[in-house]
Amino acid sequence: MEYDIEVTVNDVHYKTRVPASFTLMQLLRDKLHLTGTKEGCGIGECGACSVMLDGQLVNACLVLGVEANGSAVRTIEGEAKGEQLSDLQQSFIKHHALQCGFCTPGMILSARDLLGRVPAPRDEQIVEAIAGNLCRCTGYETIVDAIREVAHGPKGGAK
Amino acid sequence: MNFAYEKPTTAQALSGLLEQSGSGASLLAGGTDLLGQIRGRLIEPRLVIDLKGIEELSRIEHHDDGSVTIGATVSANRIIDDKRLHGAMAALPEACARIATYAIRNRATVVGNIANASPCADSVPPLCVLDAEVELRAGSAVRRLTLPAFIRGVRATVRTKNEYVAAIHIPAHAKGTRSFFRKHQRVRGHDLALANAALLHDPENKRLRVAIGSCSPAPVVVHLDDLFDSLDAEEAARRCMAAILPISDVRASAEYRTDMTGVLVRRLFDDLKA
Repeated sequence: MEYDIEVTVNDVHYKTRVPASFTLMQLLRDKLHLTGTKEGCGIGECGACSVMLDGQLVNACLVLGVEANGSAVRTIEGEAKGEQLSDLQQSFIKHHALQCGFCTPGMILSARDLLGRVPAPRDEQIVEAIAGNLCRCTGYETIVDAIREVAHGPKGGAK
Repeated sequence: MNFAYEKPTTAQALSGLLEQSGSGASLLAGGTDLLGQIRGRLIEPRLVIDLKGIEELSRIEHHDDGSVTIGATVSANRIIDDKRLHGAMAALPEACARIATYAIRNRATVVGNIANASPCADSVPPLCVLDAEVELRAGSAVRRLTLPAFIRGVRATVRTKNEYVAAIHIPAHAKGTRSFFRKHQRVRGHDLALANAALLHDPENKRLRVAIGSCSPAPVVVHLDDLFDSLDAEEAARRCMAAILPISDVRASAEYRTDMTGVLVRRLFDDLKA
């Protein structure tokens, strides 16, 4: 069965039609062609598809597209302002917090969500916040460095 | 994977849908377990009924007598954030904090954790020691069951196809009652429990009990009231290790699970005495 749905993604309103079995990730990638959100495992273990749904961090692979009907979604495409990269994006580059880049959209969404909830997180809170985001390249240290610098400034915060 | 989707806004409409579709329907709360089952083709529902449109199922209610009702669509993170769930109830938010990861806890529900009846469900041992009851509804018919009566085995419950779990009721406990939770897993944040356990200590009524998960098809509750005065952790650990029926699987051997159950019980006694 297919359903008409309306969803706002990064402040852009979309009307589309999806099968009930489509996940929010399939809706974003295959229908709306917002391919910044990545599919890693597809079963909620890797966090590559992390997005904000009505202000809450979710794994887009574990939400049906029809469940997002009437909702506001934020994805990695909403992070930069035009050509101007966000503070988190610039910090990830500065700290070499990515190599292959596949986990990065989800990492940045999880980090953005953390900074919204906890403006000055301790390292253990940063680690807890990205516990659901697997990275196989960096070893995580540089990702924590990047998030810490955005939260506390270049010299702030306990390492 | 060609199913229909309905999102009723009243309990009455939900019951109507369940009556029409019966065993072909799957109930969707957080979806973190259901979507994995559907995508893995472990189940092939004809209809998925989303419970999130029904406002009355979304509440955490703290009643005047100290009892608490948790609706079917209350997420694990809402339980963690509820500052009134402490003291006797403390094991429940503690267990919820150990379920999966933050993003999953935003969706995953406590009722779903129970209704799926996975033997390693983290919220089950706390709710067992708290004598929580599951409220099953079919139309206007309501019945309440304790967790050991509700969960019959691995992913098996007594819920009939016309019923849904509307809420969990946690009774009030005597003043001074405390509860604790412990979980053993290989990787924090990405793993299911090898063993999990909760302890309840009620000094007013001299009640002491432990519930153990992940080590039997259904939760095991061990009554230890006779150890209330001695708080003999070694004896408690021995009894708990004897009460479980663990299996060997990809995560651990039965022997290891048994040993770890003993460790968790001793640590729960340490938590109590700390």
